[in-house]
Amino acid sequence: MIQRKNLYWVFSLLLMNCHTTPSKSVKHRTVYVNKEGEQYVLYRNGQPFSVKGASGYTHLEKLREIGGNTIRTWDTVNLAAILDEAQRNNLAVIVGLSMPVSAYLDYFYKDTAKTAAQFRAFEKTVRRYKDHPALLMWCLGNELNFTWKPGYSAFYKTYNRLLDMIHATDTNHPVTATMPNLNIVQVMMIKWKVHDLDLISINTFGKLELLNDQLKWYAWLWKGPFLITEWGAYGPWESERTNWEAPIENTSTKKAEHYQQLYTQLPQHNPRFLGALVFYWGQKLETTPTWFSIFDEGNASTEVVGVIQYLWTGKRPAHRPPHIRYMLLNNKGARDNIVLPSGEKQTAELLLEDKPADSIKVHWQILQEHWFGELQQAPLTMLDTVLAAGNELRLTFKAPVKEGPYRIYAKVMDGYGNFSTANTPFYVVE
Amino acid sequence: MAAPRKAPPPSRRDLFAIRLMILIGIASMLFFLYFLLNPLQIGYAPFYWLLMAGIFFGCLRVLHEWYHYFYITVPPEPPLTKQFTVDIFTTFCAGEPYPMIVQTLEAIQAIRYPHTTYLCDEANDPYLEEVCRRLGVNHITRTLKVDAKAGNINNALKHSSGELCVVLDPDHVPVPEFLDAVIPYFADEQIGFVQVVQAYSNQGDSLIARGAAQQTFQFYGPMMMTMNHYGTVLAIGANCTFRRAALDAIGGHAAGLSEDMHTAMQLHAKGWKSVYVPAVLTYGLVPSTLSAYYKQQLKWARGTFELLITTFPRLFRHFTWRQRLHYFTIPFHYFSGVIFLINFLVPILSLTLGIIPLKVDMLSFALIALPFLTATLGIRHFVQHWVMGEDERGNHIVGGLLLIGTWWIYILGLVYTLIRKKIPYIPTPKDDSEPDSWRLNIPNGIIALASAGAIVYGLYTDWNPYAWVMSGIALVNCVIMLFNIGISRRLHLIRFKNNHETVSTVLNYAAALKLRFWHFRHDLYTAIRKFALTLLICMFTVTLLFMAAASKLPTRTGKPAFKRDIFYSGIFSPSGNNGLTSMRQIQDDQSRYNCHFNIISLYIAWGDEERCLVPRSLLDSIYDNGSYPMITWEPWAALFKDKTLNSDQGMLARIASGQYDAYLERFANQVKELNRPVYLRFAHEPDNPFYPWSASGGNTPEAFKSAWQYVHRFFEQKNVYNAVWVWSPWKAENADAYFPGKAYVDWLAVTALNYGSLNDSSKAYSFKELYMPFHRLPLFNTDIPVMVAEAGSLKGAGNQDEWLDNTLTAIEDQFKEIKALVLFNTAADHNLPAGTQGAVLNWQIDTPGVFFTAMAWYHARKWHGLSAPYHAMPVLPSYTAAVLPRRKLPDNIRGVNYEKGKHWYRNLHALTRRTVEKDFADMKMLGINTIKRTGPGVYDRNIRAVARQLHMKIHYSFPAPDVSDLIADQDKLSKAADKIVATVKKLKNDSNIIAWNISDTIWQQLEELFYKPTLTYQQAVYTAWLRTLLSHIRALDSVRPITMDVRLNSDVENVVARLQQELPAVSAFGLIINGTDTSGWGATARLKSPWFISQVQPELYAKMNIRSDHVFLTNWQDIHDRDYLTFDGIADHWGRHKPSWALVEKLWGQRRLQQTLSPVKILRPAALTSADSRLTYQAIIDQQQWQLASRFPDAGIHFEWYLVRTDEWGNPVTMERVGSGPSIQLTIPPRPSQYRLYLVAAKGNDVVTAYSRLNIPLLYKNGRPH
Repeated sequence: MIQRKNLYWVFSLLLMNCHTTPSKSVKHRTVYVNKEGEQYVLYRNGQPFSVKGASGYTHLEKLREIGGNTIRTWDTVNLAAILDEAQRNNLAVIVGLSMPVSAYLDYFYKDTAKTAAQFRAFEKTVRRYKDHPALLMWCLGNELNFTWKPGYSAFYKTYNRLLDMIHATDTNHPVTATMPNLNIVQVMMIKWKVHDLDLISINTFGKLELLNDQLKWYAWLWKGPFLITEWGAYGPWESERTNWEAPIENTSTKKAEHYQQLYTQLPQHNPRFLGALVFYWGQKLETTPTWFSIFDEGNASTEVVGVIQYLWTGKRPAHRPPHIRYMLLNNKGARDNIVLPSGEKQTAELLLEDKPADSIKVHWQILQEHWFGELQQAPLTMLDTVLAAGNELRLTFKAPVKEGPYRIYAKVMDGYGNFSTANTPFYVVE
Repeated sequence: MAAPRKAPPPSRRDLFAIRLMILIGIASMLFFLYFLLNPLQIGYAPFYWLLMAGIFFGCLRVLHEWYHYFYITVPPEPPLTKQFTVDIFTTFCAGEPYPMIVQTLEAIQAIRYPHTTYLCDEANDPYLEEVCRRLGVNHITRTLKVDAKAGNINNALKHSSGELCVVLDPDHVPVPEFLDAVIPYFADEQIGFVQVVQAYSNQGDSLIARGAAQQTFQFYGPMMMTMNHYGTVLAIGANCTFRRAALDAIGGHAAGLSEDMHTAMQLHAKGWKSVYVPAVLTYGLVPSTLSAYYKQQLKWARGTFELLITTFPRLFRHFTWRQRLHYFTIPFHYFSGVIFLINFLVPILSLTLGIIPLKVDMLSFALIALPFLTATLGIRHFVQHWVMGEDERGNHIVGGLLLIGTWWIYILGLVYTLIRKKIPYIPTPKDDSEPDSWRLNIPNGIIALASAGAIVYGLYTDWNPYAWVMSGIALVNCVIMLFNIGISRRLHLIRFKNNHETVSTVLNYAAALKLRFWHFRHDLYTAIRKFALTLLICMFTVTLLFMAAASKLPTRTGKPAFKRDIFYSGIFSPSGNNGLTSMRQIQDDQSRYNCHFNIISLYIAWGDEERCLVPRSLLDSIYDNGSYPMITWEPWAALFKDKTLNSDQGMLARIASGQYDAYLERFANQVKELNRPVYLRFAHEPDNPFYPWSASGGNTPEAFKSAWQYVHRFFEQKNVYNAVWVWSPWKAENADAYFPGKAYVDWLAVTALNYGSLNDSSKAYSFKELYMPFHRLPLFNTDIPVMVAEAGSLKGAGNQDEWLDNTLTAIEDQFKEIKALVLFNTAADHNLPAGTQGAVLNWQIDTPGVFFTAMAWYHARKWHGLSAPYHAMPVLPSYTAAVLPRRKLPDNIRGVNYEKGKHWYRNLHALTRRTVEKDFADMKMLGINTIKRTGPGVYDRNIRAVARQLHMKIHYSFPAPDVSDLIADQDKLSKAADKIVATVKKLKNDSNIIAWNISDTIWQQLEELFYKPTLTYQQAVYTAWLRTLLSHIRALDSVRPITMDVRLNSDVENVVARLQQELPAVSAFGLIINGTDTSGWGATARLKSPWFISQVQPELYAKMNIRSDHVFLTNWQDIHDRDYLTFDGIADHWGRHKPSWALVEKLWGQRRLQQTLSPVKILRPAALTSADSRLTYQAIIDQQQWQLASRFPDAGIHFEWYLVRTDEWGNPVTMERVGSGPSIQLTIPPRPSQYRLYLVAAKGNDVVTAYSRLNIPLLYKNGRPH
């Protein structure tokens, strides 16, 4: 019995390798992937289309301005407006359809009422937007984890039903699914368990430098086309931590350097590579409000925008934001594991590379460490802690009263719509 | 003598049952050992390990037994296929009785299967030669006498030629079928010998014979049957049939003291197989005198030890694994002598030295030991299916006792082996003609004497539960020794018995009784056998469940108090317009609609007239109806005759200035005389312009509040405590402005009247609409109960029934704070809404039946306070007396609460004499001169003895009984009082006791359990009980003061005054300062009674600016019960010094030592504490600034981490050590919020501690920043 099962595995693997693009003509479609020799080409409206864009759905004009052609959403909130705005800016959109990760079996995938409701909702969405000119492809779920573990058939069943529905409803656009880094087991599972996914998408950060090699190593197992849907700065999970497990964030200056370096690691010359999206085109809270955010809550941007512009167009912007060297708290850095007594006065200091221009402004604030992201609550801003009136590179502040981990943030604005950030985690003991 | 039937083979079910039982048994054993090996419990280490050695040995023995029961089998009997020539040998030595040998020879000749018989006569006895000739037996003798019995048989082997040879002991009488049962097995060429059961015919000769026989039952049954399966059958000297070829292969019968076992070893080593036939085919004799028995045991002990150290290693590599195990373990049976000696010595030493080997909480110990004990007994009884008959079933107690009494023989055997001393082979003497030498009893006598002496000495010097346990063990040992001495002197005993008629009668009667119970006992054994598995599973599960669940139960202090929910229905139903409810009408309604009203409302105006006073007869009839009256007490001025008083203008301010004191006093006295609770709704609706005591009469909210407080205080000063104060605002928006304060209000009240079209808006309002504004006020969400003092819907203002029904539904669903509803059922209301025309309003309900029934139903589902409905309200105990002459406490009490080991049976701390001595000596060093301890308790004797010795004074406390409803539990109260009085009587001559104390604060706690007026009754019962008790104590003890503890809070002044008034025997009050709460500290200056501090944390005491000469610190040492922990001691759980130790030493002691350790804290990870995740916690240490402790590896600080489980209210319940070192990786347990981390940083004998939740506080609560 067991042996027969193993044989089935081997057989399936062999079959997967033999799998090629379906022979029937797809060329009438709006968007499709075509295999030309070893090369995969994404066609959009009959023209080859190399994805060069950003993960995010705001600041579209800016993206167009610096040479991008594609954006991406994770869900369908405000989708009509986003698609229209993208169309105005001549940008293509990868539309994300949001699904719970595969581990939500009892809470979701085994609950037929919930999956049926989801099915109806997605069907309605696909029908409504399938003919929108900005639509590039559908992305069904983000990092769902196509696990090899037993007991997940409810998930695969739901997934395949949705995939079949999208293909049946919208014959003009491909469907993709994402995974964190290149995980060959998950690729195999997609091949084995999932019906006709058009291409695979990869979200990758610090491990981007391994991607070229991995593609080579696993080529005997998988030779399909792929897209990089997220690339960017080293994630909190890839960073050093303090003794209380708070990840240490680089300054925005350092992050801009990383973007430039990581860009060179993209598998530009791989014949299966369909393009890449930089992460995160907008402002979002992930561990900190600044970790991945290329913009702030307004229209100001970090140095990353300039770097991307340079990489795509070869032209540098007129103004560079102030370059931060590092931040000190009581003359210590984040790696010194700073523990402060509750409610007492402290000093923080920001060191810039160049003599600061007169026009710069500094904004300081202290937030709770955001270790409870799963609880869907934002970290509180600790009011009454920042004593000096800002705009200075040096700050006297009062440590929060309640015990726990916090982080002090500094944002330096140059008056031209650019800003730089730095922060330092610290721990208060009552 | 009927041959017992051969045991049937075990069925599959039997095997399953026995194996399951063994597995459960092993689990129980591991459980038991795991518990015992907890290093926390080691008392005095050498004794502990001695004790553990004994327990380990016992466990190994049990395992050895279970190992054999696991594969219990009965060998199948092959058919007789081959004939053999057979020789039967028996031996004779000089001195053995002739009749025995003759009987044996005759029986041998009667064996049916053809055979040749040989008598190997060592004595060459002519008489026997003659007998042999007569019986046709070959008589053989020898001249070269080597190798004792073995040599004798080998000699006979030379003279014979049979293919098989049977060795029969001369005392073993075979049955005629003997060979028929044995021969068939030899068809298998590999079989070297076949052994049959050794059974005895003389068990009844003496207790020694019985015991010796009992020792073999289990062995010759189930054990040997399994040895048959394992290929390890032991040849027993008697009844063994050998194949000659096999014996020849090993050079004849092997020699030695245990020649039988030796032969079997040799044969097994040569690869011969063996068979055990579980059938009784011979009956032999068992030693029936102690000397014979001892000789036999010594021979075997010496012989088997010899085999272990000489033969076993030589043959080791020839054995199978099972044989190796078998021949290695068998001799250890005789090692038990050493273990028995340990078991004698440990209690003796621990009693005489006052040292305990093991500190356990006895409850857990009993719980843990129970499944193991059940398993051992259950399995043993279960396998008695396979002993040789009903006679052999039972507990085999005599056998066990005899075994224990043989301890020194076994030790002797061991010693002889070690020193290589030879003992001669003598056949075990079997007849009981010789009397035992008394010298054989010397070792047992010594142990008996030493045990008895240790018990007397130990208990005299150190009276504690551990000493009781040790004494118990010593007593059992002593009795066992005496039993062994007794059975050896049986001839003397028989003579004694025969000479004393009474003794003889009693013993005969006892024997007859025992015989009568034979069937009962054996039925019981059968039942145990049958249900052993079920019983074991039940016991195991129940214990596990209990261990798991018991810790989830609320701890003794844990459960927060919840008030008993009540709902009172009430009515205002006047017949005229005098404002008084007509009781006749009420009674009519009650009987007509089968309902009952708890509150009867009436309205009384202030004034000089008769109707302005308490209508005594009406109130009496209300009480008789089982109801409380509610007087709405309206401060109208018009009815005062005096011109200065009868103006309504600014009335409230004038009340507060004392102008109406005369009336107040009259009224207050009348209220007091009622002696039963009465609701007093004074100056209701002070914001309703209709009434002159509102702003319309020139009154302000401030004036209202001060008038209210004034009246309230006035009553209190007159000791009128039976009034229940009902504060009743008119509009919700004014409520806060008019609220006189929590201390002055017992109930909140609202009016909810639907005027329908007469309302300003001309529309009807539901109750919900009327009440909702009040419900939204924070004031109405405290725990003050709310009453709807007037509820009704005007006739003609819509559907009345529906309105009332909706009211009840709204109260049930939404307004849980409403605890009473009074129906406004009057036809003549003169209080008209502003701008309304007309004379009176009619609020009477048209169809009272519907509503009364609904209300009765609703009300019946709630507790209604005190008495059952329809019973008259009881009278409060009335009491007035002056404070008795105060007795003074000694000056300058520097005390500490000493509650260590209070719950002795569930506590790790044992207050042995040594422990108490050490604690008191330490206290003296800190300058502590008095302890406060709750009694009576098992350690009282030790504590008082040491207190006398070290001059420590004792403030002796009594807890009040644990009663939640004093009225319902009067029985418990009187029992508790008896116990306290008895204790005082017993201890009053102890000069170290300085005072008696009532330590509980029940009187205050009752407020958390009951609403007034039930509270009034409960408190009255409590004070009445205490009053009687204290006067008893005072009468018994003419010197010592009595003190009483109260909690220090803002109300303490009133509480103390009230208690002092009701309890004149109290000489001083002890203030309990909880945690760091100092509210009410200012009130101490105003206390009129003497007071002292009964509990205060040392840190707080050091910080307080007010010193008292009489102080008891909270706790001497952290408490560690099995389900209750505290961390409030000066010493930690292990007796090390916390920072407060140095603090107390600095305050009071002679030395001025500085605590050397810096404070520590726990650095928690910034991560969610979800179950099963692994998180790292770090110790941080205050070195000018907080730093990771791991940065100071050379500081010599030792870190211990404990995971503390709390109950759902956060009270610590149990703790478990989870690591050491400056940081730990912790696997987060399920329900992390119920756990805490406790960090101890220790250096030498000093510790600092930190205690923290597992998670970092979120700063959010209910989704909002907190």
